[in-house]
Order: sequence, then structure tokens, then C-alpha cells
Amino acid sequence: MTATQPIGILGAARTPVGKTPGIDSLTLHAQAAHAAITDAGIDPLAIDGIITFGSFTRDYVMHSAVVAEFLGLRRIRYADVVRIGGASAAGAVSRAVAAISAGRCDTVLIVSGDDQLSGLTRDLAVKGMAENRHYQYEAPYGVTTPAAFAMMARLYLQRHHLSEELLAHVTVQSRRTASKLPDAMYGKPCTVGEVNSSKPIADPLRMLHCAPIADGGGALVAGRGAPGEVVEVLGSGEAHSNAHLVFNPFDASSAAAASAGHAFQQAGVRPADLGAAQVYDCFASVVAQVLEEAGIAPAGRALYQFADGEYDVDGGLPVNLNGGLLSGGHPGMPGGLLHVVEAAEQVRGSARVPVAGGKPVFVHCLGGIMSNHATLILGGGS
Amino acid sequence: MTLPGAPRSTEAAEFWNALGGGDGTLLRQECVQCGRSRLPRTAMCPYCGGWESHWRPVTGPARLVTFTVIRRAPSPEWAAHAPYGVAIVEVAPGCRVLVNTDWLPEHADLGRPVVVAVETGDGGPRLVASRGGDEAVSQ
Repeated sequence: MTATQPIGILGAARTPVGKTPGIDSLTLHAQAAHAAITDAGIDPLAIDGIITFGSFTRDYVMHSAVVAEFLGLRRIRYADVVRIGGASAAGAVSRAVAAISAGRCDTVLIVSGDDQLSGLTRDLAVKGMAENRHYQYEAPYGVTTPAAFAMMARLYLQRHHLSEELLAHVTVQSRRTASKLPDAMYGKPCTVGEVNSSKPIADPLRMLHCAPIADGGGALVAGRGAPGEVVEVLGSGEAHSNAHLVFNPFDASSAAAASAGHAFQQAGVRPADLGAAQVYDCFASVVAQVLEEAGIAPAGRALYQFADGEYDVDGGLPVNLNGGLLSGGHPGMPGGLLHVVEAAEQVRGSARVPVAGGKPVFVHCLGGIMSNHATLILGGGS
Repeated sequence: MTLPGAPRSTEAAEFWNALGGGDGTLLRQECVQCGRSRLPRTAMCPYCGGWESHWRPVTGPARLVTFTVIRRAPSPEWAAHAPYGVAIVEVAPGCRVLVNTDWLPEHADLGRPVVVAVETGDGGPRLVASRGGDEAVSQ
């Protein structure tokens, strides 16, 4: 390793995602970390930086220090807990690159794991849900997290004169993609009719528009590596307009567009250059909205493109090759990492269903109620 | 069953105190420096960076920005009311509040004028939107 080598992702791994009772949050962190360190082929004692995101089931004020302590890492020079919700994973990668570039440390472990499905008590589940809703202006009105996303989806459908039945195509594409994987939590193809007759949650969102809660974890090792051996961060962006729905400025230009726009600009890449895209998909509506805000899909057209197969494995731009959170399962804080891990595997050609063909891969993570965004464009791995 | 009211926190004290002590008129925060209005309360004006503000009554029509009808409630007390409507309402330019609706909104309701009232029950103050215009016409 020399200071002139490119900085990027050296190792990437995920734990099984689904229902794994009896494996707690710290253990999931360790499993994911071990797998990513093994994947990177580095000496674990070389790790001198750590970034974690906290946990819904077992949180600590000094979360990253506690994870490092449990792993046995004693030479940490840079410890950070990134808490920007679902945007944390992509945000952590850009922070790791910045820390290494600034000479603060050489090798950063980014790791998250949570037993969101098996380990969450009712009290903790309520607390976790409440964090997305303003206690003063939102929670007293019985607003749920799906309800807040439903209100964003409603605006999107109205702006482009789209019927709510079209949202089903995102889930159908997700299930179809997941069916090509051996281990997806929901890997059975489904139909538009099944999605549109699934249990209503908060209009226009139904059960099959929502990512199912899961247990799982993911990890990345960032550092310097030889060109061709490191997945480079060609560009990154981040934008935060608010945290709660009621504070959304509803500006014509969204934070999603700002984040993605900065990443494309820094990378010198255009949407047409991409080989694949990983888009945070806590709800089906979000994927269509982000693809349009990022300039990847024409305004108001993403849902029709989903229906036409544009984002399928054999389509023009394959999206969410790991089945995303919608079909792969949503473990909470690690959710974004699962997207970055898949993107890194796509860049270096080691993905289970490789499609990127050496082209850059777009990763967009988001938190809050579509208010907190972080984007990466990865490339150069093969 | 009594629904929860909004907690009277320091950060929103002026907003709720003015409502509770007055005639139920909704208030907006107006910047002393640039004169623009905002809601919910923020410490600093997001438009000009000014830190001084006044509370002014909201006058003029409110508009339904977006809504949902919640079919799956977050708690037993809300489950007893489900399905129920929740909406974001713009009460003045740059001023938005989240409210319950006293009807189940449909897609055609987007953008429609609504009346926002402050209800004070056992659980504290709450904001509720109704289709004031329609009812006035139908009566």
C-alpha cells in the first residue's frame, strides 16, 4: 500500500438476511466484519478506523467504540458513528475515503448488523418507529412511517398524473430479480394483481409495497489498493433538507437530486454510462422517485419503465440486483450497506448475478422521509 | 378513547401557548428581518438567517398538500379510530402543519381548500382539518 494508490472498497460482505433468532446485534456486526475482512484479504489488526451506525435492538452512545472493543480492535485512530438514517451507509463510505485521504487512518471498517426482526421488543419497535416522526408535530396525529412515505408517494403520483396501481411494478421487478438468487428472503415472483390486492397499510401503500423487516448485517473495508483491485469511489454526494415530513420544504429541486447530481458531477459520469443501480427501497414508491430525481429516468416515467422491464436483469439498466430491501429483507440500520455491498460486487464482477460489465454502478441511500440522501458512484474495479 | 395531544415542549411553547390562551387561531412565525413566514417553528429563519421573529395569526385559505388514509394504526388507541386521515396542510406560504382530517380524503381532494381548527381535548391541543367550504355550500 502506498499513498499514491487509489482509495476505495477493498472488501465487502453480508450476513444471511432473513430470520435468524438468537444472533444479537453485536454478533451480527462480528459476522459481517469477519466476512468483509476475509474478503479484503487483509490482516485484521491493520484496521485503524471504524464507522458504525448504531442499533435499534442494542444501542450504545459510543457505538463504534463498543463494536471495535467487541471485535478486539485496539489500534483505532478514527472512530465515528454515522447517524443519518438510511443514508448512513453511503455517507460512511465517503467519510472513510475522506479520513484516509486526510491521513487520519489507513484502513476503515464500516459495519452494521441488527436483529431487527427477532430481537426487537415491542417497546423498542415503537421507539424505533417514533424516531421517524416528530414527537411534537407528527406523533400525536397517529402518523406511522409508512404513512409518511405514503404522503410523499401521493404527491409524486399526483404531480405526474399516475395511477397508484402502477406502483406494483416496482415490487414485481424486485421479486423477479430476487428469484434469480438462492437466498432472498422473498424470492418467489409475484404479480401486479397480488401487490394491488395485498393488505392496505396507508393509501396508496399496501403490504407488498413495504420492505419486510429482517435480521442481518453488512460490512465494508475501505483503504488504498492497487488499481484494478480496489472498488473506487468515483463520485459521492450528500444532501439533507430536513428530517421530519412536516419540515419538508417541498422545494421544486429535492435533496435527492442534489445528492445524486453532486455524485455524477464529481465522477464525471452520466446516467447513460451506468452498468447497474442500487436504490434504497424501504418502500416501492421511493425507487421510482429516486430514479427520476437522479435523472436516470425521465420525470414521471420510472413506473412505466419498471413495467416495461427496463430495470430487469436483462434490461437497459438493471436495478437492485440483490432483490433490494423489498425482497431481500430490511434489517434496519444495515439496510443501506446491503446496497453498497451489492454495488461493490457488481463493480468487481463477483456478484451472484453480475450485470455491470465493467461500467460504473450507482448507489443511492436515503433516510428520514426522503429528506436525507447519500449517493455513491463506484467503478474501476476490474 | 382519548387521543394523545401534542406535548407542550419548550421548542414549540410559543406556538401552543398562544393557541391555548387565545381563541383557537392558528399562528405562523414571521421573521422580523425579511418578513417571510414559516411553520413549524425553527430557531433561525431558513430564508435570511434572521434570529428574531413574531407570532402572527394565520389568515386566508388553507390548502391540502398531501394526505394518506391510515388503515394499519400504530397503537391500540389509534386502531379504534382506523381508518383515519392524516394530511399536510399549507396554511400560508411556507407554513405547513400536519393534521388529522375529519373525513377520509381521496385523490381528488389534493389541493382543495380546507379549514384548520384547534381542538383542545383531554389529551391537549390538536389540529384538525375539515372541508369547511363544501359544508358551507351544501348547507
